[in-house]
Amino acid sequence: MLVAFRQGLSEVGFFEHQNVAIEYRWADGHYDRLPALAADLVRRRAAAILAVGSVPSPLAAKAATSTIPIIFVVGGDPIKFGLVASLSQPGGNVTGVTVMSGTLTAKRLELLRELAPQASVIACLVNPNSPEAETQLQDMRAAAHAIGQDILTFNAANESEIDSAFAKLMTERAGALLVGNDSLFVLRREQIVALAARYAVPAMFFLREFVTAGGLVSYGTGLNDAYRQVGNYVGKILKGSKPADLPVQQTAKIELVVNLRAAKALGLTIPPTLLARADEVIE
Amino acid sequence: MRRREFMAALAGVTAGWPLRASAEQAAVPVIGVLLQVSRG
Repeated sequence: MLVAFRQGLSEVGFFEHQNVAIEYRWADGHYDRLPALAADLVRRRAAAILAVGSVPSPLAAKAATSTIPIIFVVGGDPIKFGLVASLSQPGGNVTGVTVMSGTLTAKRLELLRELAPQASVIACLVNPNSPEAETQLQDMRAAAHAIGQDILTFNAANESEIDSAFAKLMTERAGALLVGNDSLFVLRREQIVALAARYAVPAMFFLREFVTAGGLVSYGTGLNDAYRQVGNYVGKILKGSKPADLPVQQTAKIELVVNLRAAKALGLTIPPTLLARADEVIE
Repeated sequence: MRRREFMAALAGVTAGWPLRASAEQAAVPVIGVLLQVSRG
């Protein structure tokens, strides 16, 4: 994804190590480290800050500076979380791209039920430390209610809690799993994919990266487009554009990715109608 | 050149060094990237 960001930068004339320097700060999945990392970038007098992952990252950057331009990629609603005043006129020093991942929850649940119609209960995995957790739960409950599906929610905020959440969902006899949109889960995707395989749970993910790591299916926005777009935005800001004048963009490209090898291992037959809708099928 | 003039000229030159250095640094903007995940 950072490759896509640098590509976006190069499209507007900026090349790392030539006419722009990029300094990275990694929180390693710990939200509580973000404020100090953001403050460090402010001390380094960054010309702009790209804050990505999900909402906590740009919120930390926004708390650290009201003058340095901040450009985000988030899956949630940037207005609801106070990042911008409006999508068309962000105001202030913050703008970016939203992939509006949460709005796809109902479709993800519907697709998962198509794949695992025998699941009387579907488990939903959420990181309770995320500011988006409550919104995600509301979306999941509303989607489940609309189609008459029983769901159970399981919290996991670190590696060991992911392990114990899978153990619990097996004792609760959940027949499928919907993984909530969270950067911790992206970070731990190989663990989650391995656990889903070990416990033979059909799982729906929000990013293709889970499926390329061996997961069953994903339905969500291709993040490369979003990162290329913010690369463009950062370049425009370096050339003098004001974040307040750059509308928050919404990525429109949504992709369904299916892993047939994972399906075979789970003993699942992918309905042909669903396969026909897939943007990519991994053999 | 009198000693006082020489010292003034020298001060002007040396004072210019850090300014020139910071001007060069400023010519290459720094983008900070804040990520929730790890580099792996």
